[in-house]
Amino acid sequence: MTTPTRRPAHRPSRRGAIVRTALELIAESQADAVTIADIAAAAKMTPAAIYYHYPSRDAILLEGFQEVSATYRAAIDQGVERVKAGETVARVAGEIMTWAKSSPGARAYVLSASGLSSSVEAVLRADRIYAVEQFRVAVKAARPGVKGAEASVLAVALLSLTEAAVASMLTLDRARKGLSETRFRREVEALAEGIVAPPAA
Amino acid sequence: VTVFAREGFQGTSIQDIAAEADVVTTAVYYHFSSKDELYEAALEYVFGQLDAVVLAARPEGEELSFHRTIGAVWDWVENNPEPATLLYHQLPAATANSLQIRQDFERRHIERMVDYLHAPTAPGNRRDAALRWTTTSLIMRSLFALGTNVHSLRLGDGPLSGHSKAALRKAYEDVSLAMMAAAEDRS
Repeated sequence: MTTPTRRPAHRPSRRGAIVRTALELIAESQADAVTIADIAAAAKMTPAAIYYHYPSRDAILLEGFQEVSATYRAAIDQGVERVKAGETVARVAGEIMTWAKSSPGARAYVLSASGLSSSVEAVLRADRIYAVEQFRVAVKAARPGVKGAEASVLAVALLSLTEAAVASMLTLDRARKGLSETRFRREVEALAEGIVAPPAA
Repeated sequence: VTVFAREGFQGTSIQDIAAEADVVTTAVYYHFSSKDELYEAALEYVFGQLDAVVLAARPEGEELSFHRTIGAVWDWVENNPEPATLLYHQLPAATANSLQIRQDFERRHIERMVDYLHAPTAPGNRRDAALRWTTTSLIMRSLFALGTNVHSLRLGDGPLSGHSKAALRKAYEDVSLAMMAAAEDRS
């Protein structure tokens, strides 16, 4: 039984802070090394206070990734709209890279969400399906008349490229070494355009 | 490999693996001192398989045929869904050595792809070299991911389930070649 507790009006719920802190922590270290105690310490709360809001660490992360997922989809949608308005397909990849770089939680989503739990995995799969469908819309807008299967596979190719690019961008791995971020992004966008461009006759 | 692919690194316990392999837990520990070590062995095994597939598609002395290589990779992913999942669902660094194992694997394939892509002209300067490495590695990662993603999105009611296998394979080959061409144009 939980009894309603009175919360003074000047103390807003800490739920948002808990989720934000948890995502920041798992983006920086191995996910299974992050415990409720760590989250509590980083959020300057007691573990008991966290358990008041959430039954488990996975519940916190699931809620966090659902929120991040919504921002990810919004970035994709924005890119697709711009392609429909006449920009190249690379715009979608560009919007996703901007999202990855600047949206809170994106880093954790890209680098640490995979393999966390089956419910997070379901969020990722649903997002991937959503992304492919949206990329497909963009491909068809950019290259009218492309056949069904090819449009679908092109969409998957763009998603694969974008995922690879975003991961290297955030980890600064060897694929990005020696290039400025601007240069790297331009390169990814050029590759995206090159992939979708119709083969030279 | 099967259990890791199904459950992910975090979700897998040595007990699960022992149960799947029909051996007692202690027998697993006799061969591997930890889950990390076992996972790394599984990765090495998968990457080794894929190396062999790519190598077999490229017989010594014959002209390079990228087309044959992508066909071979497609068949491998189709016939080995579990190892392929492991390859794709790689965490950035599940264990201390897994990142290194993956990087070694990628480096081998990036170098091989540079062979496919470029006439033996050395890049003009360091920036060009960095650029070439970037495009090649992005495209190489995307190519492997493409194979796995296409197969995974074909399952169940995935967005690719409406297309026939033959149409997808053809489209996969065309798109892979377009990806190679895009990489070539950029360097």
